[in-house]
Amino acid sequence: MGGITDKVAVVGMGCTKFDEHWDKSIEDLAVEAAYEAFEDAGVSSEDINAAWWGTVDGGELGRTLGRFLKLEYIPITRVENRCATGSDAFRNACFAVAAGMYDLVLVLGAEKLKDSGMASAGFDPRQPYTSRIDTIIHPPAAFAQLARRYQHHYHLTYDELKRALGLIAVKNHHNGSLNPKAQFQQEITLERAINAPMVAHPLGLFDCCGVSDGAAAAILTRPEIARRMRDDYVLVKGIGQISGAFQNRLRSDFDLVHLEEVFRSGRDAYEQAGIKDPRDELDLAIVHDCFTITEMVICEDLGFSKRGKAREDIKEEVFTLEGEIPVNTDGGLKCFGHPLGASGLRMLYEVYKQLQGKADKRQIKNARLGLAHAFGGTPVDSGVSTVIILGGKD
Amino acid sequence: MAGIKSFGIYLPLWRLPLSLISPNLKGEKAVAALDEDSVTMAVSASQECLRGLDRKIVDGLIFSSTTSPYAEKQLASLIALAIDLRPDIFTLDIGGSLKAGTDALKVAVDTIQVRGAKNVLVVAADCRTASPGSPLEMSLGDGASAILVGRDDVMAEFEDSFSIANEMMDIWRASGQSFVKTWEERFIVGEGYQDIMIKTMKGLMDKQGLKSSDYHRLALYTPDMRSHLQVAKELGFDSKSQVQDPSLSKIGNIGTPQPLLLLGEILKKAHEGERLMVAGYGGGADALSFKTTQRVSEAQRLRGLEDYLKSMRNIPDYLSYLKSRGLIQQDPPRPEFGNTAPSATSVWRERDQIFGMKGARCKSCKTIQFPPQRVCVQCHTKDQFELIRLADCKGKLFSFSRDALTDTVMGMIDFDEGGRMFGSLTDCFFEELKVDMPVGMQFRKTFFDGEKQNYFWKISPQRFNEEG
Repeated sequence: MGGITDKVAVVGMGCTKFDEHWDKSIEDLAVEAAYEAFEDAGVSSEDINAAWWGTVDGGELGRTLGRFLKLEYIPITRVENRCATGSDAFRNACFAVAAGMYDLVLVLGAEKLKDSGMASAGFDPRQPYTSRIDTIIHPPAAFAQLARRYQHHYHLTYDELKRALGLIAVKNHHNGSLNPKAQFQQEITLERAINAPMVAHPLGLFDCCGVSDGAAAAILTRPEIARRMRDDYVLVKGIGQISGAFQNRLRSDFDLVHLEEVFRSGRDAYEQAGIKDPRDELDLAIVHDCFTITEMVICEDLGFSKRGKAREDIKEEVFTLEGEIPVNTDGGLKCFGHPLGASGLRMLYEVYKQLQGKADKRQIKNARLGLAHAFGGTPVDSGVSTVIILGGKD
Repeated sequence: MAGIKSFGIYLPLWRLPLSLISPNLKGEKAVAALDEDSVTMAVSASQECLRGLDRKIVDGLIFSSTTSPYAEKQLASLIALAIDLRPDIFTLDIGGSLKAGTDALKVAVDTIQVRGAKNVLVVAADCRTASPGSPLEMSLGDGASAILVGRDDVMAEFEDSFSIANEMMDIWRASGQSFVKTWEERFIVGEGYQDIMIKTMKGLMDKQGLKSSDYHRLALYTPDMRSHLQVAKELGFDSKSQVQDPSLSKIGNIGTPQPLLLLGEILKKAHEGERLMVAGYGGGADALSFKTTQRVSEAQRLRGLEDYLKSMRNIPDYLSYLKSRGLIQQDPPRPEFGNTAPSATSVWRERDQIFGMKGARCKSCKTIQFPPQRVCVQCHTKDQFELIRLADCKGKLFSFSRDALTDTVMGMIDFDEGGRMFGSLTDCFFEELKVDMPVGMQFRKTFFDGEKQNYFWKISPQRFNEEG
């Protein structure tokens, strides 16, 4: 298998504040993210050769993004891959750049969840013209099953499970408190996290990510062009993406305490990036903490912790800003909320800023290699997992 | 020759203590869950009736109910699919009258005696609703019962029957209306129920040339706790030793299935060579006489009223009952999830999978998968599957959770035979659920789009401990 390593450079990124943007449309958010990226890269919309538009419910066809930004008569592809939409749009844009087809491309992900009137995370995966027999499952109830199984499998008491999950929420809230673009910027205590109202047992309110609106964008080019544009461009070191095929509910041997898609996408990306020991070699990781249990399991699947041992690493503060491998330095989905199409690019935005040394109070010392991970789907059917590794130029 | 080969009853898990309606009321009644109706209860009773029997022997199915969920559409054919009967069978819905149950029994006997069928399944179910707070509401219960009528190897042989037709506005529900209505009690019981039941039962006795002491046990439909006893007394029967207690104070008047449920009860008590009479009432009356064979002892193994009563649980409040009857409108979560109407085409194409709950077993690697796939999830062999019915399988709960938005419980189960499914849970208390607890499948209502009622199988903790 070929690789993508060092064939694509990120030369500009933008990200709106993620929030309940009652007074902003998806067009407003897309324009805001795009223009921050244009300014960051020192380009204008006229310089863009092709674009990828990542959104789940924000408008069909590439023309939606074309209209927002007045991208006149260029190829625009709309990408939908549920919660990995933004990451997959980025991935596909990378391929086009690496192939030499275009010199400068835009990837933009945006979502407006808060116009739905819905208080909870998630959206209705409408399936017209089907028998409508499938049990409709909202994300908290789906991931609660992962938590229940994890507790059962590793013989944890309810209290042990809740404390571990609570510590993840506390950490992410701390990181979010240092981030002006986060939806939630306040610290929480462990007691508050543990005793919060139940959403889907055993997941309480602080085990669930927020619900917000947002947009984020990236501008990509080939490294030889990037060199002429700026000194601190960032290189794509590896991309792994794996889709499940409903094995989780079709095969009785699936354990429901890990996410196979995550493990395999990580393995592919590490191979390309030449990473042998991710815990040691990665300087930070932004992972798909749609729920605290998801972050815990992902840390095992991506090799930061041994199987069943993430709980101990959480206790020993391995994943905090000062830890061995800081996870979700920007506050994660926990503090940003999860506007589906935007999230993957928001994660990359944090890695990009960290590698450039522009992460302010959250800055990791000597950040050279970072990972962004998105997961779409659920543990009770199957999903898509995307791992993108970015590195600073040497 | 024709007779009774097997029977099965079904009472919902839920009982409504009447004190929840008003504090001074005594007694309780069986009430269907939110996801139950006459069709789902009929499926459950039929499953009980056919437990351990080869379903291929059934040549016909008659569904009796005054509360069919459709004014136009046959349900016997849907029930037949759900309980895995052959497609080349005779199906019939009988409705409109509370004696639809005994009517069906008579039609089944005739189909066997005259038409040469070997086995016909009769299943009656009702889920009647009366105006909230009315005396009638206190008395109506929900339930189902099924009787397998067969030609050979019967536990009770059919002897004779007698019927009377009678026009009277005693109990009715106009088309398009939800609530059952009734007329002045002394009139409808005296001039209606008692008069017609006495004439009908007398008619049968005269036809058979028998007297009251020639019948050992009676299963008589009754609208209340006393009227059937007065009928029996009038005809010279001993109410204590001969008349089966209808348990109205525990389950309510379950309507069409009531006499068939009582017939099951007297079969459980009967010895070889006893004569039994069952009578139904509504627009006239039917009385049928059966004589038990040595096989009647098999009836003791079948689950009866006592088994169901022991396993019932109290409904939390009157509001839950009103909700389950659609008498209180509850706004769906906003925006409504899953609000797209089911495609009748898709449902039809997947009918074996949906109603019959057929999974697929790979002929190559034997892996069972649900729903059926084209390519095996285990060995990737294409199109080498045999269908396997999972509705009758037991399993263990692998994981579960509750959705706060919709207040529904869902989970993953592993079937004991192999195979896994993810689905909704019903008839359960969330706090009592445990990983690895034994579960089974229940046929239930799922989604109603305002026009069409969807049905599918749901997971529930096993209601009975000993499994046969």
